[in-house]
Amino acid sequence: MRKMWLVARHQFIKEASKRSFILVLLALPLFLVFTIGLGFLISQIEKESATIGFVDHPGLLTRSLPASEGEDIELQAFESRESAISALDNDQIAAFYVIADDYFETQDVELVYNESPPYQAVQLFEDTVRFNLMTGEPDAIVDRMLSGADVTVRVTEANREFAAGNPTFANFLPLIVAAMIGFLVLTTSGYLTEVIVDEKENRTIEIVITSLSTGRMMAGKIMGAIGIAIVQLTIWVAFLVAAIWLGGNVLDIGWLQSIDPNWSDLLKVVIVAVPTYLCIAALMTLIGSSLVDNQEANQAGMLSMLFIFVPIYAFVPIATNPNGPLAIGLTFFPATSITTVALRSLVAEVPIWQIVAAAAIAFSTALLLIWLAGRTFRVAMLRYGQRLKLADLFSRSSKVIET
Amino acid sequence: MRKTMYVMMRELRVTLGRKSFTIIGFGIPLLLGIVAAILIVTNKDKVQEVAASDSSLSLSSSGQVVEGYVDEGDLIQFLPERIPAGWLTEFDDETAAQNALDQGKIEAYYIVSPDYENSGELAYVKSTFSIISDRVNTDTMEWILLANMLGDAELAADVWQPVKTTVTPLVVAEVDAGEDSWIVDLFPTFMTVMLYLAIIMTSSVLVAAVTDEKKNRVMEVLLSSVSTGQMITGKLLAVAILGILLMLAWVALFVFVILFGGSALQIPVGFSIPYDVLAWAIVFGFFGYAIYGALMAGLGALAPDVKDTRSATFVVLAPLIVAYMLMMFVATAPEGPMAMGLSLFPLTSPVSMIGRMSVMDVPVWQSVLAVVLQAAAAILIVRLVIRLFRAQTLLSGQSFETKRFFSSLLGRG
Repeated sequence: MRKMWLVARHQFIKEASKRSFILVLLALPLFLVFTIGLGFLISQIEKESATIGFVDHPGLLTRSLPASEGEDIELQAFESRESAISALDNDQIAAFYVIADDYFETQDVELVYNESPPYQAVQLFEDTVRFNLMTGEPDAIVDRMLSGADVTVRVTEANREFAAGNPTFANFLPLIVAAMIGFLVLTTSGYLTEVIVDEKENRTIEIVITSLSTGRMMAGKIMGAIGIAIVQLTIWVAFLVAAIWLGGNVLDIGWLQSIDPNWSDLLKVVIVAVPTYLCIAALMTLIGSSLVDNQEANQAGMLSMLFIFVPIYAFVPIATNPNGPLAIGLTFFPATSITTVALRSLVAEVPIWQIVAAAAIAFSTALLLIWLAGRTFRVAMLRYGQRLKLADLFSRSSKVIET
Repeated sequence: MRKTMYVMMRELRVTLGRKSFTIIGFGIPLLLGIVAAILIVTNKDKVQEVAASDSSLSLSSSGQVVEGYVDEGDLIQFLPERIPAGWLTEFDDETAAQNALDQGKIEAYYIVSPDYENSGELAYVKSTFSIISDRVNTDTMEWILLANMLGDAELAADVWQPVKTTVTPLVVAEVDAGEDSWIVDLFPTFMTVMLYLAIIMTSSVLVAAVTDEKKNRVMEVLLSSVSTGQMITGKLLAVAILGILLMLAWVALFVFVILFGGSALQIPVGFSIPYDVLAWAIVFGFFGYAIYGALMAGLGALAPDVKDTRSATFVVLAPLIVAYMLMMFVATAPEGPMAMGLSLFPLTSPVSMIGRMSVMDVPVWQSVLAVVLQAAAAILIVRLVIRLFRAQTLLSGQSFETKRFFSSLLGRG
């Protein structure tokens, strides 16, 4: 055990001390900052700014209503249709309404424009009419009408709640965690496939193997690489939390405010993610031990990340039938389990027994792959420059090497 | 020329022979095509199922869906006359409502919070709900609540629907078929991602190709037979062909979805394949491959091993990554200065110009100028990189430093 920890520690320090590790560590946080900043900037650009005119023949609009916070929309009164058209032609207003003389009987209004006005402007005009129709009513009722109801959809069979029928940022958190794991696989696959490259190239591998078994060595290497992954993940989660706080409290981005995560769903994703990552790490190490070509080994990492995202392409059938055979099958398959559990959590509660079973399958597969990685390394140890075939692992010659 | 072609063919053969490259490069569009085909078949069936299931809804004699409500604050004192009889049933508490829901007597029920007037909290409870296909409409219940708060159903109706608008456009706008379609919205992203992935995948091939040839000493033999110019030109041509092949795979997927998606994938009628944009994508892609392929080949020339090039790879690809990330800006404001700048700057134009072309008609002079600038940049960068392919550089075995790479590129190394 002690030797295994020695190998793990050496592997961890070797990778963590590289400059490229710092770069990879900062990659996702910088991307998050960039994306949220970009989202904030775009929301600023997309803020509508317009002046809408109105000609009020029956004298309906005696009180004005300010535009919503963050929108630069205002209403301007005109004496006649002709003066409003003149303002429209001079681009002083984006459009204008003409309230008919018999509005109180017919509710007729005419909207005149060159180019369709922004939705927020139409909404402001209609709210202003509502505001004036409710003159004399208590402020609480007027505010309630103008704000609308705070609707929550509760789905009893799925044990889920959605604000106004749409998933919120909190609902998507398990999926964000799954995406983070996918990114982690991509960034750490390089370490994992090259765990023994240096020792093979400088011929120290033969000396190391005289001190500990190949199985313990591979386990130690994998643990060291997983340590790197844990550091990366911790930094990324800290940045995510900080980014959410910054976006919601400083930049005032609406969808980042009042986030109420479902900790049960997040825990389920984590329970499945840990053994699944161990499984993928062991697979990467196995591939690195058997492949000759570094480039193929690196592209194998990219392939694993793609497998993790396969359930995204099957989102519609999974979301439509979250407890169907496809969804359950993808939950139990280690490469796709993380993302499938995250997607299913969006629309339904995943049963605990399925989480436990998926984690158990992933863990068992990981143990098998670690053993296989050790065996592969042992068989391939002296086969420099030769690609290892699966049959070679279990052939008589491999048993001779073992003995 | 013959030797250049020989280097090109060899590079093509080796790269296409790599299973990982072909699986990732061509397998993904193939997989997506299979997914699209399955969706086309299953969505056709789903339309028929929805039509069949409509008849199984619980209907009162008036034809409305039967729902219930639990009024925790006793706000609802009356139901307006316009509400069909039998549509809404009051329940004393949530347990009774849930039992009715479970027994299929009602399709859904509302829970009006005790302080609805101040908080506006209204829950809508259903047995099942699909975020994909189901939509929530609580307008009628909200109107009923407003009528009870105002004590006047007619006033509530007027406030709820305050105007009957007649629209008078002074300028007749062109109707854009499919303006609100998902495929129209997704097209710029698709084109951007396609070019981005194709350029990164193919140019990354060259780093490893050159470093591997250095490591296994094949470079020594090669340099005795071909000139550095012939070698790099051959490799870049191979990269360009690989990139075009990758793009063609994605274009084939796109064409398949357009031609066969139909109503199953909600392809708008009259949506045509934008062949002009696809043609420009091949042109910009070609020069993109040349620029980034040359830079990556230069990395390979200096580095003793591919793993030493990781941080430098990130620096070299940074303009492309930034262009990809700024696509939202380009799509939102395609005529703005940032979009124009990104689409003309040679290192970002492969991605940004195609993204702009996907959302607007870019003036021809801008497209031509961008191509000319890209071609000039490609020729300049290739000539600079050829300098790096000197024998003493390729065979030096020195450790790799990012600073040394850029200095050598600029002739100061």
